[in-house]
Amino acid sequence: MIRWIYLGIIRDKTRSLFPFLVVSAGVSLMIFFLGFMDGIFAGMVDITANLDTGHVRFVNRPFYEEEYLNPMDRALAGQKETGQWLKENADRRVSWSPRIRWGAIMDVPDPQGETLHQTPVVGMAMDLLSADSPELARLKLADSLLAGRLPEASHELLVGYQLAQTLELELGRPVTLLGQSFDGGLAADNYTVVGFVKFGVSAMDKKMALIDLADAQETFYMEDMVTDWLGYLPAEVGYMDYPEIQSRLQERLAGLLARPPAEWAADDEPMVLSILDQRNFSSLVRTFEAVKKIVIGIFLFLMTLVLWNAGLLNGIHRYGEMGLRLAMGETHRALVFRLGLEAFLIGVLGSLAGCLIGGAIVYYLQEVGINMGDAFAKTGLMLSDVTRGRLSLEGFVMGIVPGMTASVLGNLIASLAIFKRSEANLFRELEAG
Amino acid sequence: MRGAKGKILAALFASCVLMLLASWPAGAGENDAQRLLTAVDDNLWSNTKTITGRLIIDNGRRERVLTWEVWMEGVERSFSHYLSPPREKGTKMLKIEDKLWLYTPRTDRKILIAGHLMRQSMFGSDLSYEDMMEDKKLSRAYRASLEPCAASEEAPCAVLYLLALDEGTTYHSRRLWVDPEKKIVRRQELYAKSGKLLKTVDFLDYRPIGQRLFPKKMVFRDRLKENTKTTYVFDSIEFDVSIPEGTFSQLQLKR
Amino acid sequence: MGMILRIAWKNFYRQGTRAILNVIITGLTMVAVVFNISLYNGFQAQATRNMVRTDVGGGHYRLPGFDILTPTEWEDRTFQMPVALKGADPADSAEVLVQQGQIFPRRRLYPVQLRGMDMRQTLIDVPLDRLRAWDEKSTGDQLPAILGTKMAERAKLGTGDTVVLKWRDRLGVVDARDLLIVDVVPIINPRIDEGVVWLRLDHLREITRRAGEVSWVAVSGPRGPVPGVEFQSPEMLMEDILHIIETDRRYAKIFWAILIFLAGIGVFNTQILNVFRRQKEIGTLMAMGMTPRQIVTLFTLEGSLAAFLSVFAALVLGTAIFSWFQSVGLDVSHLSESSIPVRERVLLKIRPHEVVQTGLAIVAIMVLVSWLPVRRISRLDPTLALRGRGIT
Repeated sequence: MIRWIYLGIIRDKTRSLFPFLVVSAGVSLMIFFLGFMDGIFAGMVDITANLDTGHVRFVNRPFYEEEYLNPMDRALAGQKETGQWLKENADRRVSWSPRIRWGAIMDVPDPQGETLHQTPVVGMAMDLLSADSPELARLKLADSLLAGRLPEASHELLVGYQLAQTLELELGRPVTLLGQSFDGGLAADNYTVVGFVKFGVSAMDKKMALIDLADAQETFYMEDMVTDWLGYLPAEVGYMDYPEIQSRLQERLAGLLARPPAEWAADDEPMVLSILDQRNFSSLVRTFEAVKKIVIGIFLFLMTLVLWNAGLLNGIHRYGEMGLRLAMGETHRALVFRLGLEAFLIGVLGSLAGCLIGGAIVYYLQEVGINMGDAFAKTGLMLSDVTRGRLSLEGFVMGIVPGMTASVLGNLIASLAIFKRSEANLFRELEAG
Repeated sequence: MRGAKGKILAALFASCVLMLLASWPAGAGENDAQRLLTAVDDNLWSNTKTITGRLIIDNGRRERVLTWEVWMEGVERSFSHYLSPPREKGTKMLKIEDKLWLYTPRTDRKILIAGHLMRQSMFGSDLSYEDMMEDKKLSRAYRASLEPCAASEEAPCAVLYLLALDEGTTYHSRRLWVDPEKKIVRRQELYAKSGKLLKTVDFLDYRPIGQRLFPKKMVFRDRLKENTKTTYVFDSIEFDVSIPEGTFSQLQLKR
Repeated sequence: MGMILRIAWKNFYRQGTRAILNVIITGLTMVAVVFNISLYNGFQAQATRNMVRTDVGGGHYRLPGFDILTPTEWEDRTFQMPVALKGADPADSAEVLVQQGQIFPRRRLYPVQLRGMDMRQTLIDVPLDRLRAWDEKSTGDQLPAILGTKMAERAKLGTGDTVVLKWRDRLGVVDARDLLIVDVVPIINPRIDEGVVWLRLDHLREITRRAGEVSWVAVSGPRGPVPGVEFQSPEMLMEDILHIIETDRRYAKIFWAILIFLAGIGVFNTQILNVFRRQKEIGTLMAMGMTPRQIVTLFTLEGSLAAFLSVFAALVLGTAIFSWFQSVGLDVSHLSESSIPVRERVLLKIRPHEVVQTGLAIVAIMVLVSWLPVRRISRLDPTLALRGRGIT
């Protein structure tokens, strides 16, 4: 029977094409919409994660507790060993990025080498020079450069563009960083300014500088040491899954603490954080979830109405056919059942197509993204113009369920009319139609 | 008429005597205190000196030792040169009156330490660059007065309370525990304007060098922080040496 | 025309449930779009209002080059309260002095910004009542201070605790006193919470020997040029937060484009079916002498009626939904902990011109989607249409 209905659907395009199109459009819109909303928020998460918190973060507790001081002396030694341990013990999907948060005085010399300007700066060091470093793509640094280029050699530095303005920096000129080494000693080193970056957050545009990790380790005498291990998860892992990845790693940490790397200080005690623990992100998440619920509620309601309407139309469309079939002896009940089954099949096919279309769009957004900004005006590293999406099972479910139920229900309600109308009446509709 | 004039004169004379009498003991004490402070200063500060020593910085978790040598001329000019550890080797500091330049071989630059950089900790120690920059002898910057010694102090003992003469002096007041016979300081306390204790310096292991007594160690502590300590150890000191010309010049930094 | 309208109306309401559904969908779309825009307005309004209330006011008079992000420079960029700004009503101007300091909770260093607030002013709203009520005589050795909740948490300090504060006065003399935390207050603007210690302006001036000095004067509105200082408008002071909200707004546009598309599908669907099913009717109308143009108008009108009626539906539904929402608000109290200066409840901020724009845009789109499927009526052969074979 299903085959018969299926053939009917395929062969009679007038009764199947439009409902099919409506269902698939509705389902794909719903999937797109949910993916899009998730993507926006995931984008916000990533922007903070990329430069500051990671999705998960492995950090020495004494460092974290006095983060406002940037206590480099509480950095974590044993970079290689720790990195290896993280790779082996953390969730396989996490990609770990060693970083150094540093602070120093930036001294800008005049051509004679005399101090011209001095100002405190904060910085981040990460792998900028390895050919296979994921950091450049992660931060999309090239897109945020207002002038100059990315570091290509050791001891090259990027600065926030407003900092460059206040210090009257010129590309290619040297500056000296003057700070404290890991053990409190004097650290002073020369760097060449090669690029001005727009972060899009004035605190960073005015105060921030980026250098290569190996350079920072050399400058601040932190060989084999980092202040942070930032872990990044691929886009398909939602932020709601971070805490679990975090707690699983935290559990395993006991094993490491029992036999810590030899380079660690006696009072080193790393901890695992997720982005939700930092910068009060969990509260942002709660708000986002609340707003999302409202918006999805509205959307779901509207889509149900539209699909119901489409089902109704579809039913009315076929009053004539119903008359004919009733005249040929089919019972009302059987007719309604068949129609329902047909609507269900259309729902399945429509949802399938919708999933494919919506899923493809969201997948494209997730992997590539669409740049919504002005191509020529840089918004900055911390304010991405690229709209992303995020594919989730939830999105598919939220698309398919109303897509199926609404179209079947709409059809059923329409077909109930056949109980009310006489066969003759319906048959007349056939003539008319 | 005459009698009146005589009375006035007599009254004037009497009041002069009274004023003298009233001010005498205090004035003498202050003079004693100031004289003692000058003597202490003179013992510590000579026209020129060179020192080779160690700087031991203990931040509560870790201890670092730097060796250095310094040439000083009065309190106004000094040139220090760090010899070890390898990282600090070749780092030089030149102080001329209220200016301080830092040279590091790695940057091959001389950097002017000025403004807020002066308030930063030097090599992670309990001393700021500014603490290094005291360019006046205590006896010139402070007015001293004597205070009674606590019974627990080992005799002979004198406590000098120092109050800044100039209202811009970094430390508003200090207290010095002095051996009045040997003219040496045992301990110094530095106070905020409110009187809160900020830092202490202990002068340990005095030994004779030429005509003077000089401590072997000075221990600085920041009283607002926990468990930190900075120790200067003077391994060898020479007073009144002749310092080669050009030592206190910026050219010397890069040499 | 009157006749066409009458026929259209009759045809429309005879659709029954479907007509109602279309009206509701379109109406709800309008409500949803307006809701969305207004929610953003509300967010922006509240974020900026909170910054205005707690920090920015109607702008600041500052020394040129003053930048709060560069503490090493702002410390000495203070100025004597200009004559031109003196004597203003306490509700119109607030003197603020900021200086650097260090506190030592648990004998560990914590660099802070000391912010001295004029106690008489009412322009800037930070809950400093305990400081205001502080009896100067009872100060003694302790200096009363207030911390924001985040700062208190960071420094592990609570009401009644004391902590050493070290600072330097105008001449560079080191000074230190015990701070007595007289209150820990929620500050709706996180930017002035973490790292900030709130003091009385008279106390801060006294301990730093900066009598009569200010770092800036917040005013309720520009007072014209003042010699030596420059006026910074609220827009300049809030530049980055305004920019962030603008970026978010772009996403909202996508949201309502999708909604309108969805509503459009409903009407489009109805219209296609109408043309298809009612060919005989169309043929009859043509045979009776109506021009194809008139028939297209009739069908377009019939479809558009849903849009016109939805305006009324939107008004009714919208009023109900919005008044409910305004009574509840969106609870974002936890946002105050993040770096976005929004707290308490976000209410909708409905701007009439946006409502009208949205309504017009949606009606226009609906008319368009009503017209698109019926265009082909004009190409219809009346004889075929009469037999129901015009469009297959």
